[in-house]
Amino acid sequence: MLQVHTYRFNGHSPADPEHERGRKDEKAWARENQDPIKEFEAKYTASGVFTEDELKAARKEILADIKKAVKFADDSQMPPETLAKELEYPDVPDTDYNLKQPPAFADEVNARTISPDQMQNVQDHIAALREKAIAGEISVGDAINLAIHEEMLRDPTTTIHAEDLQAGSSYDIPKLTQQTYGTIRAADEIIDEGHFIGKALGEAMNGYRPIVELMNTNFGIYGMAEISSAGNTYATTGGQFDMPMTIIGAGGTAPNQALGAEHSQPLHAYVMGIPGLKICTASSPDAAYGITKSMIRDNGPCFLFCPVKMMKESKGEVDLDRCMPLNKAALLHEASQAAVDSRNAVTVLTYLHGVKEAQLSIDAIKEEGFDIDLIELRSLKPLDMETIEKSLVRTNKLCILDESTKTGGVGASISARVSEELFDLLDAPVKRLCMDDAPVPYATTMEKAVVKRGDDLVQGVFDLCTKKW
Amino acid sequence: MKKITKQTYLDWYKDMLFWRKFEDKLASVYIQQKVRGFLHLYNGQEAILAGALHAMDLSKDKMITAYRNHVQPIGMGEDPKKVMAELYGKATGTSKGMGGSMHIFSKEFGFYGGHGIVGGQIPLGAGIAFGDKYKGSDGVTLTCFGDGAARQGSLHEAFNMAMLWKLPVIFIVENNGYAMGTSVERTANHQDIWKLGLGYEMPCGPVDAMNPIKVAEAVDEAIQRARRGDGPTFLEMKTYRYRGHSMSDAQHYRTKDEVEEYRKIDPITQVLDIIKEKNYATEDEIDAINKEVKRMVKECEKFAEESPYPETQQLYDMVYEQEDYPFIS
Repeated sequence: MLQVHTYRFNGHSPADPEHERGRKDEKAWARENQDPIKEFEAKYTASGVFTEDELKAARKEILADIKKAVKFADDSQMPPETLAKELEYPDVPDTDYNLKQPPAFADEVNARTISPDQMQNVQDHIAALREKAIAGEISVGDAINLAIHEEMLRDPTTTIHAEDLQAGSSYDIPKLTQQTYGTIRAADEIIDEGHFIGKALGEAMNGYRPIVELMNTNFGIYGMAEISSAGNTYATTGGQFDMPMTIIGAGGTAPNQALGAEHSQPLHAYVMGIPGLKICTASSPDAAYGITKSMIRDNGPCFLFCPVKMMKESKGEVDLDRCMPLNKAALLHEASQAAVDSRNAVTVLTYLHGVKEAQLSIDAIKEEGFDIDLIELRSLKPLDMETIEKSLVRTNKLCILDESTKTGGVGASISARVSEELFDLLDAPVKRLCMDDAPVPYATTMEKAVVKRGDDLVQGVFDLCTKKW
Repeated sequence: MKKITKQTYLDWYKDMLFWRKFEDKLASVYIQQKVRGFLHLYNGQEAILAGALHAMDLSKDKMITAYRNHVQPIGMGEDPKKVMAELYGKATGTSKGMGGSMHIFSKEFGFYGGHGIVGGQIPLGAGIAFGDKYKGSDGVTLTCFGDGAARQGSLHEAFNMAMLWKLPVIFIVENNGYAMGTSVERTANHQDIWKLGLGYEMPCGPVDAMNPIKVAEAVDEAIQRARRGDGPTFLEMKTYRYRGHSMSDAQHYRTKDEVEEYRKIDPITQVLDIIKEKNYATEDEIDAINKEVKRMVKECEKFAEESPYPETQQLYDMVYEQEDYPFIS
């Protein structure tokens, strides 16, 4: 580490004259006695390396160059208004990641960096996971691990960082990566999210594709500045630098998880407003697998949230080798035509633990004589307004089972957009079943009140259909 | 520092044994789901608390730590029944059921929590000390954290400012060798965590933390330094935890043999050996202590079991100070 002693002649910046009070004499002295250019000129004319005339000519040339630069800037056009929006993402929202070509050097680099034993090991591991996937028995955590291995073999510039990585972290997401790809490419991280997300930023700007696994997404709060920086990189550099970072974590707030306030916050809501991020949620192995693959291939920063209390759940078939879109919601259950016709159908939007809660309450809803179009949002940003619209055309009533807070939450954003863009389709105000504005308590009785669940959804659908608002 | 006498040893034995059995009891009721969420137990690290308490002046000194925080408030004077009740999520708990295992607080006894985010408590500790310096009290704050937290940037930030203002704080890293499942070797180029103080010219050094005497001596020196106004100290407590990081830890990262080796230097056993060697107590007297500890633990369990759960409304009443704040139900 080098400590370089220097001086600055002007203020910190032109915008803060206050900082410069009392420095006038000091600055005058510095300009006289601490000017490296003056010293250079004096030293090298005294020793005869340059003549005064040579320096004069150089100064003239430099001033001319500067004048040219200023003229260029003045004469140049302002950028088009549309540029900011165009530079939001390196890959447009409806990119089909299945069409992306893998790097040509993949096989050669793999052969050079992965020993035959390691390769055999990881292929066996992948084969075992694929079997589980085909049998519909792979967990969310394992599905992500499978996607990660496939992508890390497909593109050797893909790296992974996590705390406790070599031990599989909390949900086996990075399992067997260090043993296959080595301790730098699959790195154990210190417990400092700001540090390793920041490090991943640098890695990504230097040609690599880092995956960062956060364990519980609450810890991402420590890396908010870095996540924000990731979102801004492509645009702020005028499109020079991609930011192919993928952040994966287990989050949300399960009803009755008893983890206390600091482990129950909706980070997905906190980062939703950060420009440049693509944010998805996955509550099933197939979505976790397909979205992870796409996110790794995407050239911008992507954030995948999975439900912290469902990481070991394993229902559903996985569409192996397919990348899922990052801008599409999923219609998980369609209300019957009869319910639609009798005005007893509601569009329900949800994500994370809400998906299971909603699925488990469909029977109770039907028993009451109602039905729902159950839509798992999957992509929180960009939002799939098309799928929402298609459903609202049928039901004209919207209920959001929202795992974030009333103030500043995901449901709030969606509700506002629906109201702005699909107002004519609404027969009732948008119903939000969201977390209360209160720190999530530890004790079950109290936690139940804060985090909305299946029972609340049944009630919400009932209220909407019987005009109680 | 108070002299270390026969009574000190007897007190240490009883206290450390009680803390050990308290934690064991929590493990067993956790499996029965009476305690939920996360549970991080202190087994093996008791000498740190025993030694520190001996050197502290509990009428003015304070402590803050992370989430392995059940026994520290008890050591400082809080009622263990209320701590267990908090873990059960009952209204009689130290935080009225709002916090749970990771958020035990005791304002009355100077225990500032109880924090879930790794390293989050380090700047807080410096801040508590700042308050005391500003007030002109000569209280000292013990700011404890683990070897994992030592890598947080906030440690450096707090060290720098604490030295600049000569804050009355003792930074204590409880180095049990593992940050969750990752050993110190894997995430650092050297294992002398105490050396992090050198860059700030902070007095620093390692302590054999399986021995309460060594702990007491080191903490006492640091406390005297802080009380004189000479600023912070950074102590690395070389310790070990016999149980996993938390109850959901499968402990794949270390061998059973390693744990067995460290059990040989169990601080409770070390103190008991001295008691027996120096005849500080008869077999019957030791037996009586063991029985008393058992009774105390049972009493805590009974209190927690029989206490009521909190009313739901409590959670809204505790968000803002203003009564009937209009924007909360």
